Amino acid sequence: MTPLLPLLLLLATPAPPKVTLAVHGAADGDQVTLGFELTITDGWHVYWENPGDSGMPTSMQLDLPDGWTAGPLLFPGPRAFQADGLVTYGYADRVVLLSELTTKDAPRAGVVTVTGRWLVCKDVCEPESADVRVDLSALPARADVIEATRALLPAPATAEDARITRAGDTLEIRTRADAAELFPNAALDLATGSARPRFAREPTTPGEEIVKSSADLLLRVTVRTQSSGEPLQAVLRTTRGGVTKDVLLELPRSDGPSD
Amino acid sequence: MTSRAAITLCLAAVLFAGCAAADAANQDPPANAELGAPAPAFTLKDLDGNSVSLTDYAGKTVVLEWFNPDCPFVKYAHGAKGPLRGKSAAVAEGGVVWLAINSGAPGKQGHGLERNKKARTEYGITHPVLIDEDGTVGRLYGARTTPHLFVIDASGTLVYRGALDNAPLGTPKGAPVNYLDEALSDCASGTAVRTSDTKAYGCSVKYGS
Repeated sequence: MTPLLPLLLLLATPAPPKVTLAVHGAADGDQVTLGFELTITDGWHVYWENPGDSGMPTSMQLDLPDGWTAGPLLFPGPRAFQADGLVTYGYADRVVLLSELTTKDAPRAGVVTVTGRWLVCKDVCEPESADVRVDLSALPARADVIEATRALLPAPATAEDARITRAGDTLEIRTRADAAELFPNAALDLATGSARPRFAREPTTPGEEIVKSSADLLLRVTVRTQSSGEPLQAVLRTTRGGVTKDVLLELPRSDGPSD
Repeated sequence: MTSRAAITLCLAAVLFAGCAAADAANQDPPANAELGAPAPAFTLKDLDGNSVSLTDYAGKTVVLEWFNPDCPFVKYAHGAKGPLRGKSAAVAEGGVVWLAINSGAPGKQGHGLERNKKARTEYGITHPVLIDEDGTVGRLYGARTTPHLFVIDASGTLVYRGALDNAPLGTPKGAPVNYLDEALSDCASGTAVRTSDTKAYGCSVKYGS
C-alpha cells in the first residue's frame, strides 16, 4: 500500500546479476572446445581482452582434470563504447568466448570448474563472477553456438587485408574497404587522445579527386607507448560490399613494412 | 607627453618581457603530464576547504591516486583487506605524500563533499581527498580510471603512471606485482623506476561532458 514497502523489499533483495554465464561444449577427438556465453542486461556492457581506457578484461579461470590443458581465451572482435571522453572496447547484449582444451592421453572424463569474472558497466560498474561446472564426459551440447562463434574470431590477416608501414612512432595502415575500424590490443597505446583511431579515404595519387571505389582507406596514428613483452596486435574490422570481416593484424615494433 | 608615456610603457613591457612570459606560461593551461617530465602544478580544495598545491610538497615523493568512493575497484582497494587500506599512512613514514583526487562531475557516482567525507571515515583515510569536479586536473594528468596512480619523485618529475598492481580486485594475472610499491622503492633508493608505465584498470573517471 505505502510506497515504502516495495522500496524496502528492493533494498533487502540482493541485486540480480547483470550478466549470466552459460557454458557450452563440443568434442572432436582429443580436442574439446568450451564456449562461454555471457548474456548481458540491456544497456550494460562487459570488456574485451583490451578493455581500453578503463574497465577490466573478462576472464575465465579453468580448473581442469589431470592431463588436460587449456589454450588462451579467444575473443570475437569487440565494439567501441564512448563515454565521458574515454573509449572502451567490449560487448553488449551477448557474447561467446572460446577456449580449446587438449590432452595427450587423458580420458574425456571429469569435471571442469569454470570461474568467470567480468566487470559490467553502464554509467557505473559492477564486478561479477560466476562458477559453472562442466562434465567432460557429458558436454552440454550446443555445437552450433561454438561453430557460430568460431566464425566470428579474427583470423590472421593476409596481404590482401591490409598494408602496414611504420616510420618512427607513426604507423600507417591501408585497407581497401567501404569502412574500417581498428581495435588495438593492450600492448599498444595509440596517441589518439580520447578519440578513436579513424580511417580516412586516401587519394591514389596526390591531388587526385577522391573516388570512393578506387581509393584505399588510410589510418595514420602515433604510437604513444608499446609494451616490450607482448606482441603488438590489433583487430581490423572492414566492411566491403556489406560484408563485415575481422582480421588480426601483427604490427611492426620499428621502422619498415610488417611483411 | 602622451606619446612619451606610451613609449615608456612600451619600454617597460620590453624590459619585463621575460618575466611576463614566465607569468603567462604559468597562467596558460599547463602542458599535459608526460612521463619523465616535470609534473604539472595544480591547486585544489580538500574536503575541509583547504587549498592544497602540488608545490606545497616540493622535495618530496608524491603519490596521486584518482578516487571515487563508490567505484567497486576503489571499494575493494580501500576495504578491510584491500591493498590501499592504511597504505598512505604506511608510506608517510618514509616521507611519501599521498593525495587522492576525485574528478567526478556533479551528479555522477561518488561525487560530493558529503559522500567523500563519509568515505574518509569508512575507509580510514588520513590523506587529503581533493575535489576536482570540473575534471581539469584529471584531464591534465590523463587520469582514466579509479584507481589510477601517479608517482612524482622528489625532483618533481613524473616517474610512474598506471595501475596499482597486476591484481584487479585481488586476482593477479600471473605472479603478483605491486607496481606502486616498486616505483616507491625505486624512488627511495634513487634508481630509475623499473616499470614506469602500465595500463590502469578500474572504473572510468566520471568526468562531466
